[in-house]
Amino acid sequence: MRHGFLVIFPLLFMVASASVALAQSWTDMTEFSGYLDSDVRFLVEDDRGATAGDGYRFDMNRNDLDLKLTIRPFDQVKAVVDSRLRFYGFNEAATLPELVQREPIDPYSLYLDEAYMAVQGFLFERMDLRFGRMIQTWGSADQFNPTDNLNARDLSDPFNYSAKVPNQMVELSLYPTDWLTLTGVFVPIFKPAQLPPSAVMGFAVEYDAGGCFAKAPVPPLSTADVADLEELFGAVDPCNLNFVDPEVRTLTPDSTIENSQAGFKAAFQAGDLDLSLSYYYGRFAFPVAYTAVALVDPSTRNPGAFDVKYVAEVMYPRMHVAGADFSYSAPWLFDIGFVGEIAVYFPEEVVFGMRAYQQGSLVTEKSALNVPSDPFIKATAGFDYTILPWWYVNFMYVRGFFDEFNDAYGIRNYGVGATELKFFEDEVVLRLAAVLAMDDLSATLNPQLTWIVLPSAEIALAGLIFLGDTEASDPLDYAAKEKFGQKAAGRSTVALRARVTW
Amino acid sequence: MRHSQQAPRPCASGGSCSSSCLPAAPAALLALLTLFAFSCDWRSDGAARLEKLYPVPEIVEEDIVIPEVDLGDVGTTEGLQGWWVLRIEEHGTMILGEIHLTDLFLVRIPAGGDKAELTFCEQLVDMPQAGGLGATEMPDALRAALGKVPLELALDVEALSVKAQEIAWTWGIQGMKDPFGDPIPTTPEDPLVWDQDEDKNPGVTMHVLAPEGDRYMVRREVLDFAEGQVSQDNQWLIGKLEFDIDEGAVGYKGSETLKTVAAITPTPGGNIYRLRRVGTDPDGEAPYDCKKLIGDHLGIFQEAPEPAEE
Repeated sequence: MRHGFLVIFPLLFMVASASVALAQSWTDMTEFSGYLDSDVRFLVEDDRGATAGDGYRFDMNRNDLDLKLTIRPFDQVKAVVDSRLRFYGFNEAATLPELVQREPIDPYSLYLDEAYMAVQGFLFERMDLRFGRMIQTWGSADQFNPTDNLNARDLSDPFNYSAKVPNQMVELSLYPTDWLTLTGVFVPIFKPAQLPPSAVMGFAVEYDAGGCFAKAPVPPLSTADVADLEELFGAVDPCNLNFVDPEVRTLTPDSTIENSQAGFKAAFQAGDLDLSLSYYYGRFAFPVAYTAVALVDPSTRNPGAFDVKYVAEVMYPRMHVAGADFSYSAPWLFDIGFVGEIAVYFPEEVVFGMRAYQQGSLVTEKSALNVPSDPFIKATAGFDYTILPWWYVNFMYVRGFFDEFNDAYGIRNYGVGATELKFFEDEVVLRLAAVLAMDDLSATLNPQLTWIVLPSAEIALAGLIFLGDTEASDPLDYAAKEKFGQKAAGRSTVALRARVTW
Repeated sequence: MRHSQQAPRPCASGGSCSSSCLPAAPAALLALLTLFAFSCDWRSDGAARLEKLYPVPEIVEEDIVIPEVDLGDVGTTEGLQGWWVLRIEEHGTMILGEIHLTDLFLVRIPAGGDKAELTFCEQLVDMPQAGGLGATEMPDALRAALGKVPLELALDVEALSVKAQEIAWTWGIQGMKDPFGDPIPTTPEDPLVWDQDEDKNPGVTMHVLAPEGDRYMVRREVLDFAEGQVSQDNQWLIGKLEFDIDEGAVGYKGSETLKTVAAITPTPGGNIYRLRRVGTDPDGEAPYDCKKLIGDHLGIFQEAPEPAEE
């Protein structure tokens, strides 16, 4: 991938510069855009990491260069390439030989967010084709779109819920009338969601200040079964348990046609009302707990102690999703914008299985229904309103967060609100956003102060604060973890960013 | 053999997949509804996958050759008096899986035959699924101390049988007003705690192999003997029993987890006591001692009759 960048990036620059230097027709047929973004983040707590006291340090020192090129070699043909070069800013060289290489000292990666061709009037005048690497966004709500399943989420940046993992797909759009658009999408290969760095905390083993085993991840079993497991491991001195950090394997679906994804959408427009009906077949892009095995053996290095290897598997259940969404701007009611989106999920049933072995002998075996096959609903409903030219608000009720799939953790309810205040002729923007988990009252706050230094250049100071208890109310209950309190949700962070766009 | 449960099955609602499994859908999507029917058979069973990844091998019990034991001419009497050996077999479960206890006693039945005097020799513990975790080794001092405390079983002289009865067998405890019902001590300071094995530690000391250390413990076992049946040749006395074990640590040396004693849940039925005659003269020299009994007990009891079903 990295070597691929070495080829692609210069080509992009050459094409971009050529567009200026060559004939006028090239400048007519190309659009060049992008941004440069520098982002420095600092952890403002030290109690949400893998070990107590880890915090109050820089967590990110990132530079992104985004280059987007749109080429129209013919009126009805378009090629889009959107690439992003990301430098992480932290030295990863851990050995002397690595110090003679640039990559470990200054690691980077290349993202190709979009690379597709588009043909208008494909086969029929009122049919369009898009083919290639794309990001689809279905649904009318802001970010929380239960009908939007074609691209997996990219939650690697906790400040950005809306990012997605691009995927190769074929899209056909048909426009039979002015008020109806029919869209069909075929995605041959499944790609899972990219998880935030904190996700590994969901499977992490925790240790006390003395370095002794303190806590293992709670599996999705009944509390009685979890109590049995605790008692089993409680028979050994925790200081004599050498837990190797859990190995979590993901079961990626085979590249067969049954594992391809497909979606169909019918979008209607009637005045101020936009309405869509949609269907999706594919897989849930966030992993669901499937199996776990604890292998306990006498330590060869430390007589009297036990080595514990914990191997878990997660999988991506199949699903059908039937959805409907609308957006409506009400001219008779102060132009308030209303949105609503509902999706009925028909999931694959998932049974979680767990075993523990002591010196190769099966000590205990447990299982529980993790995802029932019963259909369940995810939905979003809300409004937005510009109260004054400098004051904007929106609020949404959300049932089912991105990563929720009616497993043992359940489908939960959220209130999502944001307000934006603009000052000094829109030069300074204060945005306050929050998500409240209504079931456990944990929350995230996301304040951001943006200064538009000059058109196209901005500097922003932002925070992402997690509120809630890191410890579950019932340590034996898989579902007792607070949504935003648990450590796997993320770290409280302050960011300072500068961006220039063109 | 375990079986996976991946066969197609009806929907959770119990209805046919194409009807009650699905709610009413918008008319525009009706044509797609047949696709939903497939989801009713979707199932990923983690337990079945584990069985595939880590199959539990079928246990093939090797033929164990138990050496025959020649008791010689034991002799016969009309009554039960004489020398016997006793094996009590108890089966239960605990957090680490099954547990099987075998208690061995020397038994003297004096002339008159109305009681049996029991001398403890050994307790064998088998936890086949624990992989060694929680395994114990009884120190000689404890074995000897338990052997010094006589236990008695009441016998029915007329029926030549063990009477139905309960006995409370305590370890490291003395002075209980009601040995069947009083709570066992939980702290070393409790005056009921008795340094029975005289090793200067509270209660009795049991050596634990994994995690290694010594557990200073107290224990009460209530043995509920059903009436026994004597064999026609007057060589065997067999019966069923139930048991209840209440035990705890009042101290430990080594791992802190030694203070935790996993509870044993008795398995009803299948718990048996068996007495076999080894001599007829209760006032003569005992034909067996503990060491010989421990070595020979498999052979002595391998031909034992089973108690009759009630």
